[in-house]
Amino acid sequence: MVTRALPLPHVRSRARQILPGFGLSLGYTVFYLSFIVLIPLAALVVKASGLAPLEFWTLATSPRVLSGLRVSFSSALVASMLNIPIGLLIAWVLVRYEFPGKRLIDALIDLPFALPTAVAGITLTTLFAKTGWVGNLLEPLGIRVAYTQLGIVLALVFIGLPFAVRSVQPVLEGLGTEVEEAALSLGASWGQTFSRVILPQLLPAILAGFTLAFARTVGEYGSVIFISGNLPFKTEIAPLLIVAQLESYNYAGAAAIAVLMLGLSLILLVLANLAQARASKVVGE
Amino acid sequence: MNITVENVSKHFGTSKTAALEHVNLNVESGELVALLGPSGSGKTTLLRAIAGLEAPDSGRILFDGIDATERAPGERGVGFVFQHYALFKHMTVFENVAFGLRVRPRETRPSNVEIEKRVRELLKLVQLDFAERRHPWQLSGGQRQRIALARALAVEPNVLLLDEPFGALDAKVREELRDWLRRLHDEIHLTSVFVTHDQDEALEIADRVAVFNAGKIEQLGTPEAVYDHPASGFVYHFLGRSNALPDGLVRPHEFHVSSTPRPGYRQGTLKFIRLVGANARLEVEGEGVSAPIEIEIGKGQLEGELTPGAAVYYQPHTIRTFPTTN
Repeated sequence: MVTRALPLPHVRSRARQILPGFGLSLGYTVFYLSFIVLIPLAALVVKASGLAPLEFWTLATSPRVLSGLRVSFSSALVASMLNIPIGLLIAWVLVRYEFPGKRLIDALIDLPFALPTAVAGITLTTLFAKTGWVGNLLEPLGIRVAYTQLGIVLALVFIGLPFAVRSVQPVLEGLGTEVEEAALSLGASWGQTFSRVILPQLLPAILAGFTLAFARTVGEYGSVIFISGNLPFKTEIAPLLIVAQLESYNYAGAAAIAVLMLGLSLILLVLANLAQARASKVVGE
Repeated sequence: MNITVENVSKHFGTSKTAALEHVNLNVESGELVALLGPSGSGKTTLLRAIAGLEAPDSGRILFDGIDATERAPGERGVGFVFQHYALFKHMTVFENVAFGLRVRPRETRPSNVEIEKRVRELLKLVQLDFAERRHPWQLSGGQRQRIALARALAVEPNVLLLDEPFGALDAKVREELRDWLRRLHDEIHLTSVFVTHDQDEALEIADRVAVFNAGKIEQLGTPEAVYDHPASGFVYHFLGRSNALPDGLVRPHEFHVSSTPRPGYRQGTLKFIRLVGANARLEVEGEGVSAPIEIEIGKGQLEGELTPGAAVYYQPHTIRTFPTTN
């Protein structure tokens, strides 16, 4: 059979979008992104540029600022890493098993989103202080949580948990049990099935959850200031230094620390996104 | 390997009806058996129970007479092919096929050179040796299913189990793969059980067909036996189209048709006639018959000129009756 392309009655020079609304929706997207994200961030950079380069450098490399940044970033990294296995386990239980109270637990996951962070911080501090319910059990073991970096990590694990769970959950649901059964019937042990079949397919989602949790917790302020004790050079976080600068009316200084955090976060987020894109490509999405 | 299913029952959750109810089946070594039935009739559950992916509530499954009911799926020596392929999408085609060999414990794992040789052989067998570096998502449905088959064969199973293997494919690809599977089976003589709801598929390639209905095997026999001597109305209905006449059931091709009255012929009105290929398809409204009668006979067997709306005379030459027709 010979098929021949029929000439179109009216040929347009530009390919016409069949799905409507591209121009309008892109316009709004650019507008909102500028209005809500880009303009405030630009204003921040402008404010920080009120400092002379040398002043900026002196402030940026001052031991207290460096220590604050170190505490903030290392706590957020550790907390987000801890959230990977915890989030995976919770998502697994919620997707794979049926049990009474499942819907309640599912709803509980989002609670750290809704709870005022200060409430979380105060609650955790009360529990983990030396005299608290949990703290007095850990005290004899020599483990101190409140007013140490461990406490900061604990608060950040709490704050970041929903991101870790909610990123993995839908992907795990979509994965189904067939590939697992296929691997088992081919003679793989459960460990091999998990590490060679399930984990690689979840990797993009796990990285996404990690990235979101990290982005959310690195600048976390409300819950941390209660449990950290804010000891300079030990448990003082960078956002607290920003607030301290503000309280002494040094707006340019506050903006400078903020710009530092912004820059470091951006680098880490870009790296995380690249890793995620690579992992997604391997899975074919 | 010979498979014996002994009195196997299985319930799911709280449902009152059983997925399997005291099912017995014997699959001879080297045989290709089709489990045929409507969805929810228990055929897939039985296949999964043989594979060890489902634990029966009661009864036993024996391989060569040895009880394997408690054996883990990986220890049964079965190759399982899933309806939706269940390929590992993060691995290349080569790694998918090699998977079963790579996960073996060190003592029994072949060397990399042997694995490579074996995988290439299998990819050649399924005619996909050009695709070894591709990922599953770059292949068509039919190609993916052939990869899934190669992957299952890589572990040198004693039994091949296929769950609606062609169910997700286009009609043409399905027929090609069906013939190809039959030829493959004739070549390697691997004991095979496959599940299907497509009666043509079952009748064309299986050595024996087990017809399932509501958790039980309604009839087990060669395709000729189940088609020509159905044990029940259910089997008769399920294996092909049928017309319910006041005196029994008739297949569309079991009629004589004429445009003029003849002795023994019944009268009806021709509603529709289509002449495609070698056959004529007729729809006839008969007296005392509620649904239109479907008739499909060779063009050469039509007697006289037939026009829609005019009277037509028909005679069923084979009428079947069953004690209870469901």
